[in-house]
Amino acid sequence: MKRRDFLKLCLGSIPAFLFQHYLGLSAYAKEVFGGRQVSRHTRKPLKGISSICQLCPAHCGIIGFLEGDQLVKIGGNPKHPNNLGKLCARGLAGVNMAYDPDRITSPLMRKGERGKGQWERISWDKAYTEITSRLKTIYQSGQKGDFVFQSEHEPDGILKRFLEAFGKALILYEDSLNFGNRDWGQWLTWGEEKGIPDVANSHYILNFGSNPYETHEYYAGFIGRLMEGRFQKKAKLVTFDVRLSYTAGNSDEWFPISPGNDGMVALAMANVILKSNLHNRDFIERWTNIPTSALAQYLSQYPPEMAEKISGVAASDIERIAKEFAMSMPAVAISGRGVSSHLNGVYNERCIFLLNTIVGSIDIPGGYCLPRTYRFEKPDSKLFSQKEKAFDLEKVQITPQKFISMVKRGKFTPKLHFVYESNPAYRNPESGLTSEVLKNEKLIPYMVVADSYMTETAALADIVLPTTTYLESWGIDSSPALDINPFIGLQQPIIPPFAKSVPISDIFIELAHRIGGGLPRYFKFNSTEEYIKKVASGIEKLEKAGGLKYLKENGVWFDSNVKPRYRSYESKRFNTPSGKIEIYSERLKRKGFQPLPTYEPIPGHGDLKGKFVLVTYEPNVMGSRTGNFKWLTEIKHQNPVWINKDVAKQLHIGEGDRIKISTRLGSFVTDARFTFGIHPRVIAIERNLGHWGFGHIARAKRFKSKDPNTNLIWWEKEGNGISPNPIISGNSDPIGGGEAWNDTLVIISKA
Amino acid sequence: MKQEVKWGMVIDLKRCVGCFACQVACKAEHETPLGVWRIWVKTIQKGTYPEMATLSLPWDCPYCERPEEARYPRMSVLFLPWLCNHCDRPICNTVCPVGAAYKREDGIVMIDPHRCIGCNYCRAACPYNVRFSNPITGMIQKCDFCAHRVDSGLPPACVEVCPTNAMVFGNLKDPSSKVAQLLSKEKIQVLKKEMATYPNVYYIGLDKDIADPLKGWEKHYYHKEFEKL
Amino acid sequence: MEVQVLYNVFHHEAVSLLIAIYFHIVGLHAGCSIVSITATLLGKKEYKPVAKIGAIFVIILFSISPIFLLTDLFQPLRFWYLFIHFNPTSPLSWGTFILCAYPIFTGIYIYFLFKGNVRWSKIFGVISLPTAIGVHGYTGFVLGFAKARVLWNTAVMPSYFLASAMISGMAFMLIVALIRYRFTYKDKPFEEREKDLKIIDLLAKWMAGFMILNVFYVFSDLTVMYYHTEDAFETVELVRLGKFSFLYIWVDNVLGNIVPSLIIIFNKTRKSHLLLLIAAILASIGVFIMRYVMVFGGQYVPLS
Repeated sequence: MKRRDFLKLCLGSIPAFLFQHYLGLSAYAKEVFGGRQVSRHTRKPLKGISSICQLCPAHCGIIGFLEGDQLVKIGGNPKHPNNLGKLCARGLAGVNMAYDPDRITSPLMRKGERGKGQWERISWDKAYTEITSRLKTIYQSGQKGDFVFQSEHEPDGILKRFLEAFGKALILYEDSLNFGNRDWGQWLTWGEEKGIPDVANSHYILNFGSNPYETHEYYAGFIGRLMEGRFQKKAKLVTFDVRLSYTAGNSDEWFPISPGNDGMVALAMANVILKSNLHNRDFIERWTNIPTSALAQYLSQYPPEMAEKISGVAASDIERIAKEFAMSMPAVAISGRGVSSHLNGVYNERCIFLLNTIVGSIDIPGGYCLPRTYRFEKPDSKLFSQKEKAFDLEKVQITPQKFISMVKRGKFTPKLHFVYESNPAYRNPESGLTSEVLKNEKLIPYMVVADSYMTETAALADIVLPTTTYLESWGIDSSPALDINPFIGLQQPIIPPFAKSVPISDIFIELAHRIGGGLPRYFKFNSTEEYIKKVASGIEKLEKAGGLKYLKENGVWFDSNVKPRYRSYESKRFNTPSGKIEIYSERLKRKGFQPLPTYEPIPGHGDLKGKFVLVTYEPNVMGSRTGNFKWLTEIKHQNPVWINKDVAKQLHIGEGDRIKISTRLGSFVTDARFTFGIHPRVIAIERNLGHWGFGHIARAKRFKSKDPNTNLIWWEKEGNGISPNPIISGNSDPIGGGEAWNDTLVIISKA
Repeated sequence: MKQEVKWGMVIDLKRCVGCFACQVACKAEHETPLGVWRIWVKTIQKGTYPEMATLSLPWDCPYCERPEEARYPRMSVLFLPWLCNHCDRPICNTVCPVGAAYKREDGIVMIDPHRCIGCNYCRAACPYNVRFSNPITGMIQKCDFCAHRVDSGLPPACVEVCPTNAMVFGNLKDPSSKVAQLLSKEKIQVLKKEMATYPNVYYIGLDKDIADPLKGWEKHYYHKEFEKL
Repeated sequence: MEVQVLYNVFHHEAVSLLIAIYFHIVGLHAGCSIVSITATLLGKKEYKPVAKIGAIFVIILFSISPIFLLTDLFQPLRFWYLFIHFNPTSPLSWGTFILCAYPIFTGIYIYFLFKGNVRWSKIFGVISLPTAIGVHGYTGFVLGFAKARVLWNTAVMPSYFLASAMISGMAFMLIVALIRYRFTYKDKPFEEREKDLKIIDLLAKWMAGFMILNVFYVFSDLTVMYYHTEDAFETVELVRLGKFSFLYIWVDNVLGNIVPSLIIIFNKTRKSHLLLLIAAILASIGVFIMRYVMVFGGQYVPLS
């Protein structure tokens, strides 16, 4: 740098004087900043395009900043009411996806055997022709289930429209494996699949198996509010978790509970609360379908002493925490994967919910609130018959995992399996079986994978279609509002599609027109943008504010004149048959399940006979779609198995030894981490690592590309971890259908 | 009257959740290559738990046999975002043979990329080990408080994204700024005070075990001697 | 108390092996030239061959030393920035100018030495002696000023580096002198042989002296560190018990300093040229190991 440049620098800092008040204020709580960016090279403001992050269910508002036409950075959108301009590591690393040299550049058709990895580049026209000819036959003369569509999340927008119009599709989504139990447990209880814990206003947060410090459904926005609750409202955070997660390690109290028994502790707490007369009688009488006396009598069969024997949490602690919880209102009990990803997940979830109910902490400030969203009307909705979500056991049971085992047993003979941004060959429990079935041309005659990466599943496809990522496509979203004032977010392309990739919605519009028949009349719009405009125009107030144009400029819209109103059930009642919170579920009873919140021991967990329970958990930076993100893999590329120090000593496993973990499905050998921060009967391992496909970076392989960073992968020797999925038995909760990720019994030995 | 400016940062470690947002935001802002960092979040786990004297843990309830007051491990997870401290007495500036390292009037310690010869001496001398040589450009680099952003009135990239507002950036000389308020109100600690570098990155709730680079280091000799006793 | 690091980053060493080698070579030629100049200044005729041998090696070694220094720079083409920017607080900056002055004065000194001009060689010997001391002395300050590393940041470092430079220089010249004697003594008259033997004896004795000084430095450095900060304690334990203990304690100090000095101290062993040769080789190895341990042992303890 020359002296002149230095002077420039000093002069450049003059604006800082002007802004220093603004910076001086950059402090706590809802003081929002962000949304602006200057170029590092020219110091000129960069053009920002607001959109919605799709890397996790939180759907934070983002702004993509462009230097020239290159996406250089992703920042948080300060106008977004959930994340308030904040963003997590995953969202920030989304830039890695934009120009990743590992992405698929053109449609590919298999050459030679399936899974051999030999591909022929084909044109989009040829790809469409191949797929259309098969879909046409199914559309004209097939039966339900001949076309199987699978995606990571429940399809919405144009995808949903196509699938409903097509009519004969079986829809699978990965989320049902992870959230199925939670969704159904809550749906049956209060008519919503998930709620919003209003932690910013709570005085007491009782956390069962959730890990908001590392991952959460509303991560960036939720954790900020949780901190507000903890440090402004001085809320106490009590965590029940089998391992010392970041949350457990920062809680005021942590109880290493035995896995799958959270429901039992919650029941015992509810029992204590009712016995000590700390419950909210009015709320129970008015808003639940069970009288207080009947509930008290029912709960009396769950004394804390019994819970102590089952869960390992001392009876005195259960009693104390229960009383603290009920006496420091507003208090909220939250739950997470540690509660619901069990064979008894639905029951567990209902037990935790019971705690919120009996203290009346439902939809009050600092309580467990109803999700507030906008519902989008379908354009030309008369074409569709209105169907309400029904509690249908058959429907619930088909998860991607169930589907595979049914195909294997010949109970299901799909003609075309279409997978979009889902990776069952890697993500499914018992993933070896999934690969085996997907490889078998007799079982799955034709498989199409639409993805931006050559995932483990895409490697088994007949045709691979390159799709755009969330940074290159349209979408509209109304996630539950953390500040209970609903909003609408717009996902719009920040950059043009990578290479020859095409947004999935455009693929299906094209397919609909090519299949013909009755399908094209559902797609009377020229582009996805036009479709979204139609959807947005369905919201009256938004239309007044400027409609799609407003959304394009701001990325998000909400009615700022509305004050948040709690206790909305008082006017709308709950979305259940009785209109109340169904502590007693008639629907469960009809299907032959326990109608009241109950505890059911997990088979085999009572007496482990020397076995251990393998639990899996989500690391804080690595999600399902982020496997090939260089900045995230750099942070998280190893997943040693956690094992209790006492136990390791007992098994004569010493520092530096590798351990072997086996189930009936197989085994793997990996590094161990010895700690007291885990229940002695549990071993824990991170998910989302140990890819054998996906991309070079996901596999920790150095390679030369335009990006010099790909040649700097320093963790090549350390490897990319290991995936526990091949040895996790595909058992699921009979009600919710969610996978019991945390119930696998394993044998461990020194390798 | 012209307000004097001295930029500084206060990090409230109680609020830090170890999400790595600052670390990744920084990589994005500066296109820092893999293998080097301008800021990173050191994470440790610590706690006490008496090991079982007898090695027979009951299979059904391993915690039940312990006395109630010492039933569970008492453990915690701690985080420490580690970045350039923009010292008032920066050793890196002192030892730079060509004067490429300099301190701006507003307190930001910078490196002149056009003058640096890449001799690595500043890297060797910095007690915080925050300097690195960029493997792609061959330049010595480090955190510069996002000088280009600060000059345009924006907070540094890490501060902007911190989901819990644990990082606070501002003018230390302005008594009304949040940093100045925190400095006067909270219990403040700095890293490696004994190095006489007078850092301008302050921590609230800094724990000695995470601030100590040697704790948890596999070859901690004091620890080994201690075990023998 | 169980403390486990769950996440931390890895830092590469800032000072590389190239620098360790550079330190060694600089020490070597500085040692040679100091010996050479001292021999000239003492003015005895019998020292003249020593002075000449030393001078030749100074030229050779000095011309290869910048290669290591330049290849270590990340921007080697900008090396000349060192000459146009001076930073008085940076020993690297001092070093630059000493490294410039040193070859000029020493070159002139060598020129007159080989020309046989005693007077001018003495004058330029006096002028170039401080630069010869400085050319190695500055490296001691380079490490001494790096306050991050407790093994470097000691007051004893510059003198310690100088003492070891003298050892390496003398050991090197001793080896040369021994080889020269082995191949030439048959043709020489008795008095000449006696002179050669005397020089060898003198070099060896001086070397032993510096070795004892060196051991004293190590002793005072390490013992004081035991009474210093935690970093210092851990570092000294590292060189005493840990990864570097074999190299530093056994190879450098016992084999490289104590054993050779014992060989030299005892008259009987000193008379054996084979043992002297072994002592000189051990001393050379010892000094190199010392540079290596200083550079890498110093950087081994983590800072974050």
